[in-house]
Amino acid sequence: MLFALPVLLVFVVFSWGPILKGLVMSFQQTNLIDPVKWVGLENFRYVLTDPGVGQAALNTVWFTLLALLFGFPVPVLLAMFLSELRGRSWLYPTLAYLPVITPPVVAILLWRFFYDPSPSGMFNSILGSVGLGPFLWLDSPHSAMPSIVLEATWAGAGNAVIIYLAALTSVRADLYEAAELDGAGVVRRVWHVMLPHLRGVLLLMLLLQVIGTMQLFTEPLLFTGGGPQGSTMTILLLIYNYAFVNGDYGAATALSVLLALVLAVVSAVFQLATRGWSTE
Amino acid sequence: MNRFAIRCAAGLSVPFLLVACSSAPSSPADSSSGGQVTITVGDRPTSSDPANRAQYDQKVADFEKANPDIKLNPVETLWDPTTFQAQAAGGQLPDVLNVPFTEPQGMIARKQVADLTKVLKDDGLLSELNPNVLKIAQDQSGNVYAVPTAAYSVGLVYNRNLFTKAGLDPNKPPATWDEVRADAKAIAQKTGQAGYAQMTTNNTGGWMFTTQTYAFGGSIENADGSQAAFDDAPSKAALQALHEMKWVDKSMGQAVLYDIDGISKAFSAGKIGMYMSAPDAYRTLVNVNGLKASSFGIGPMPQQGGDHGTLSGGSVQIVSPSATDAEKAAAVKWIKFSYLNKYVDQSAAVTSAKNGVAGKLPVGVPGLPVIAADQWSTYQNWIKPYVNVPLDNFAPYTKVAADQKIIPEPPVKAQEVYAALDPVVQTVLGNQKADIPALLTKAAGTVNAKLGR
Amino acid sequence: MSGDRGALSDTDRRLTRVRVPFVIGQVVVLIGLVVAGLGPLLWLLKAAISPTQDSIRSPLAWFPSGQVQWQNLATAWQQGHIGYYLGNTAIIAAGTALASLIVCTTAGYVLSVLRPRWGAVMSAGILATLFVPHIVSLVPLYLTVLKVPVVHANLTNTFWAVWLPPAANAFNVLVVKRFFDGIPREYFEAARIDGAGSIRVFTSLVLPLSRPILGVVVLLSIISSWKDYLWPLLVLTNPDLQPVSVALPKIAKVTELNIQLAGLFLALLIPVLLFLVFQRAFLRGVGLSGGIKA
Repeated sequence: MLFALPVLLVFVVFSWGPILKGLVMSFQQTNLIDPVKWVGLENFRYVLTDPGVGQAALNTVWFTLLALLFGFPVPVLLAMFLSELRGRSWLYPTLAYLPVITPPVVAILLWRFFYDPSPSGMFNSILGSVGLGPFLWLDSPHSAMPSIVLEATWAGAGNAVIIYLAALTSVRADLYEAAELDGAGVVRRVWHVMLPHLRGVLLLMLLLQVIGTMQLFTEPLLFTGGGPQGSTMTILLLIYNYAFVNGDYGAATALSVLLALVLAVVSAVFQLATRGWSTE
Repeated sequence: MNRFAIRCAAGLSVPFLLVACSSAPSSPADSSSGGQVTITVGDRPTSSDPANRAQYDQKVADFEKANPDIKLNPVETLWDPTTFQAQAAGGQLPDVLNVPFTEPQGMIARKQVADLTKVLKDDGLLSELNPNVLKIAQDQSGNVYAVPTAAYSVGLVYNRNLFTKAGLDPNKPPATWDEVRADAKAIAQKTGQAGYAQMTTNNTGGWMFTTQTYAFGGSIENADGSQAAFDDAPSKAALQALHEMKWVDKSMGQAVLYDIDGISKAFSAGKIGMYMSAPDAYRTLVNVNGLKASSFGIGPMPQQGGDHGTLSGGSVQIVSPSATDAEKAAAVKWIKFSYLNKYVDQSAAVTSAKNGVAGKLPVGVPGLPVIAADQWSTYQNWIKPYVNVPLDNFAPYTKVAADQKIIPEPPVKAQEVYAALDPVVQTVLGNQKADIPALLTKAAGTVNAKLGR
Repeated sequence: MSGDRGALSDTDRRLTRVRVPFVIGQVVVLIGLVVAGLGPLLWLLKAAISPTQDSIRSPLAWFPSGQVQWQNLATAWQQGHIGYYLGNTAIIAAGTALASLIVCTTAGYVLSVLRPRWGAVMSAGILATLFVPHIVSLVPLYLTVLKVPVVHANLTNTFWAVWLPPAANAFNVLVVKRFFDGIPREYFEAARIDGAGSIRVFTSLVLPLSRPILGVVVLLSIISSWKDYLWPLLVLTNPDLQPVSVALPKIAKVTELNIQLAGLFLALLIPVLLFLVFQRAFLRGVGLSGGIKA
């Protein structure tokens, strides 16, 4: 059974092993130089009493909600619209996909420049020309997270659009025709034929997005470093800081375990809640 | 069992073996052969900086010629706060690395640096170093863990061009924080640019707040670093001054989030009148970001309500904790050769200054002596003909800096404390209704939890 | 199965109350997509050849100072080594894709075709990791790469550190297994009767049949490795090995803004050109991946 060797090796070394090790480490204190010390639940106590963790948790949930609010419907609507177009069908998806091709780091460095809060900043000049602003964007605790969501939506929407588009091309024409014969108008055809057809993909993308957004890291690190006033400090950035800035691996793994528990509960609830629904 | 699988398995395991054989180039076991010591030295300039790289490589070649029993393995590793822990944990640190003044204390506590006391004593270098500056590299019992090679005190960098435009005297930077406020207001009103700005992100907020607190007569931690000490009047006054500049005078512009890179670019673009920084900012501002040398000005740290002092800054060289005694000795030799020789040897001083001029690097930026004071002034005389920075623009700083009291970083977990203080500064600058006493009390609680861990 | 009509029928399209908003919508969407998709690239091109002060003072103006600095692009290319770092990115992406392919095809073959008795246990173990977020194991995975158990090799600063861990991807394994499940069993029976061993069946029957799914796996691995920042930042500290994503923020810190923007432009231009060349295959693959996920 040597066929199983690659998968076993890779999973034992890089997946199962580290997961177990992470669990063990969350009960230890180590700086990787001194001998390991067992500290029981001390890491969890420290992490749970760190006021930064509460705020980071709230920020992460806030980001996830904002991303769902903006990031989720935009590609769905766009894909539904694009699926109705005829001719030049390659142009729109290609344009929509260009931001996805942009390396995230390039996008962030560029948007950070666009978000210059002075009146001569890029976005502020554009909005200023129609009499709006200037806005503070990343430099205000109120608008920093929405600004990051805006960039993330721009960067991620193209991928979802393509996936939805592919799903929509498989809607059979006779379904629409049948609906039309039943006297259903355009809106009802969209509502009763198009959306139900997307349901499976939508649910999956929803779950993937929630799990993905809960692990937000690169954007706050390069945009704001977690500021202003900790308003963009996410759980993952905090884990990173614990481990790789402070060298406190015990606290980092303890927080990781807590995040994993939350995510596991979220997925389980999601699965249960949508089980009947998606196979309907 | 079947050939494909075998081949596949072999394909996967061969790289492991290869890596296993070729790993850890810096491990001490294989570094000495036949009486020769090999050490890896960091901070080799990248190829995007060809002039400096050539100069560095020349220095390496000269050193190897002068010390045939030592072989150097130069690498491009630089100190980077976001990856240092990873590198230290991974044994990826070179044997010699340049790190800023903020770091040695934390590294000593985490045992990430070698104890150099004995080697430095044997070498005789210990007695030549400036004892005041050396403190930042010592633990409580006086052991030395790093060699300071450049030292500065934080001052106030200002844009002389904006000062002139605002009708201020560019040769008279503010000496107190009241004057900072008045000048900032004048600049903002006359030029429309931010009169004053301050760093706030990635731990620089706490770092600069510390400097400011020192200038107001306060401190950040108590003497043994077991308790936060900033929940008091000087810190409140410092933050109050910021708050008034930002919200009453509106002289700090819109942007709140600045790190070193961000503030350097904004200052070089002429968008900022003044900010706190050490004189070594000259290179970043003028040589990297294109500020006109004539616009660069620096004064001493403004003081408030007395002569309190300022934070020190600069670079130290650390040695990997896994280095053997022979490697430590070689490392100290290299540090001396590469960074300190120019202070004691006239021809080395002249060569280094000439190379600096050729590589378009600033030569003669004033700083604090890392070696004994009289030797320091001798060195200044040696390089005088090669100085390529406008020393007059540094004059307000140099006149006062030598006598200004230097206060070291908070002794314990400075970076974690700074991280906890970032949001405090950001709140004061981002929220008009910020409750300064409450912010400080809350941050003190956070810091105490970190210090107690 | 055809997209020859959508929710709108031909009759609908002729109605004014449908057609007018539809056409307006089309124009708005097109403008929006051009601005969002091409805008950054075009602005970057302009900024890349402008003096720093122009981009800072008036980012929207057309060369306000009248200076055009074409040399910025050459400087950024030479000093920033954009091409070299993009090359690293390509090596990393290719290796990741290859490692993923080897792991998920052999695993799929074991689980779907060979079906040993312990297959169910392994399958459950792989499935379980799907529900444990990647992040939990960030720190321990890093420590693993520092010192791989048993062989005690340090993989950091070798490409293995970025190639191998992503191969432990439960999603890919399960997707491939599911695809193999769909291959009619009679094929395997027939091949066995012809005397083909498991290797022959794998190389000359299963692999050729599963080309479309392998394309998707390759695409997904390439995209995720292209986007990754944190992991290569941690394990590739040697600048000679870093991908462009890790190198750019560092370059940004030590260069003037115009050179930095020129670097960003080059780092964006090359992948965009590559994408435009392979645009069709690429988008089809991405669309297919959604179908599989669902």
